[in-house]
Amino acid sequence: MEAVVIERSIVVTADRERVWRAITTPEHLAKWFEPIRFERLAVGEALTFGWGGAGSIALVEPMDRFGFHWQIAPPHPAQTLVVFALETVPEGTRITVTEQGFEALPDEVRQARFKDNTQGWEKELGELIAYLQAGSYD
Amino acid sequence: MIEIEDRVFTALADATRRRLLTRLAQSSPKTATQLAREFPITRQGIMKHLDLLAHAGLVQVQMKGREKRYVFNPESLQAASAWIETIDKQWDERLQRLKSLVEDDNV
Repeated sequence: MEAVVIERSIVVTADRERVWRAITTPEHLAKWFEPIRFERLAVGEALTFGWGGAGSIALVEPMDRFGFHWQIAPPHPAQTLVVFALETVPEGTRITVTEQGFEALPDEVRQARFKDNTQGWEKELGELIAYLQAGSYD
Repeated sequence: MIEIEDRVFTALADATRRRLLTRLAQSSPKTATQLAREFPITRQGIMKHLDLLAHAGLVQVQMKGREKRYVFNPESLQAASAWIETIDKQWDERLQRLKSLVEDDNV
């Protein structure tokens, strides 16, 4: 089960090829994201992050989507899945990043949180919190 | 970062508890008996959920005579909200750097 937790997007005035290179090559990743070492751009390839964390490439769909697993709270081994999706828009390219799988937490926490197997509750949680904090229920 | 909000997240992981909390946010205080009339579950079931919500600090319990009345406590959501905002903000910052890179540099 995958619950979308975080979704952010941005529009850049650059074409998809350019964005694709920026999000999939260690040289460029180090400039805007993190130093990430890997040999091949292929699903299953191991990733080593500059701060010592580990991960692996989960998704390679050239010019469309790139995804990887990485440790959410090192040294705890739990990993989340990060996916970048590219879309051509009039201004250039829309980049949407999602991070999900925060349920990969210690067992006791996960079981308590997910025993009702509610999909997408974390996204819903964000909306609920926004709603509750907006005070519109007064 | 994760441990602090565990109880809040656990409490909110259940759809019934989310509905209960939303109901209390709309109108509280309410007693378990009152809530049991509005939800298709028993008063005992309501009580269990309310206990968890209270344990997470999401609701506060007021005693009126022998009856417990439950009140929504919005302050308890700040930590969970901050947690989500932190991750949002990290990604916004990274995407902003990515934008600068692809728009300005030779990629």
